[in-house]
Amino acid sequence: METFLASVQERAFRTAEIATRSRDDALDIVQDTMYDFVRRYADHADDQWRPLFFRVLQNKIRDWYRRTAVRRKFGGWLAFAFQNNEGGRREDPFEQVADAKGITPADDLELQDSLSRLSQALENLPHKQQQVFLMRAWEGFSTKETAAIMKCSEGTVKTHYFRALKTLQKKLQDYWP
Amino acid sequence: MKDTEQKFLRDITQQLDQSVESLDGATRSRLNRIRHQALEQTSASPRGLRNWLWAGSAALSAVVLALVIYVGLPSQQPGDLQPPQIAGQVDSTAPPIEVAAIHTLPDDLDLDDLEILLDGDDLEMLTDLEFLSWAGSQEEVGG
Repeated sequence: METFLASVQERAFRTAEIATRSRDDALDIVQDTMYDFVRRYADHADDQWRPLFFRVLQNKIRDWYRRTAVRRKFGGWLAFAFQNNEGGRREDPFEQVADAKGITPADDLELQDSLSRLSQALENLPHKQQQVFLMRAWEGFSTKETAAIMKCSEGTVKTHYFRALKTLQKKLQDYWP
Repeated sequence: MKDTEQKFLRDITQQLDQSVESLDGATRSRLNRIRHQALEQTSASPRGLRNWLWAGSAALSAVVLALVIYVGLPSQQPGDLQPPQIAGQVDSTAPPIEVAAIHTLPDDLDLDDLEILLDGDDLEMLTDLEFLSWAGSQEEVGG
């Protein structure tokens, strides 16, 4: 179980980060996903773990969307009332540690540029298109598996995937012709 | 699938993979902590008690479901025969009519089709020739 979770934790984090556009929210989602997954599916056969894990992850992302929608409706003044005068966020000491992989600033800049274009294009997709695309194209799940993970029909997966693909091709055509 | 589409998808997945590889140390460290905490909860919880609770709640749910089905069963099922009963006009010679079964969906209506019919966007896609041609090519590659 530990090896499996280690193999998916960073991809799950990126998927959640693209959905939420927030590192902290993405970490919370991965935490909830892992807790739920271990508690509910640790006894299942390990060949079932991957689709089940991503199904739980998608549930958590969907819950986050619902909560955020409610917060947007009612939370404007609440956020103001509870705002921390000092900015609220504590510094994490690990953020100050130098990169150990030897990536030069120039490499990093180029990578960050292309990543930010892709991230932006993905983040701007409608939620369901975005997640269907990530499950199909990045995680490599079949239409049927994606439908089970996203709790929708295979027809819906196909239409969302097609639309996401066309939108991304259009937005990124100058960058990746 | 077209070659350009395959190349495009390959480029995107490579970028996403790189974005994972370039995650900062703080995030990786936090993810590792989360993983360990999630795994600790299973070793800390009394599994035997948990299994008993599951079994008990499953049995209770089954009993409740059985009661609901038993109590909630209608006295007449679709297909039953019943004479017409209009106040003051009981005609015992009239032929019995069949209780309408029109509340039920046709047997051959797939839930996928229903979802597509209910979603205006999906219905629109069914008339999109580009989508239909793309969907056909997906079937060929087994997607």
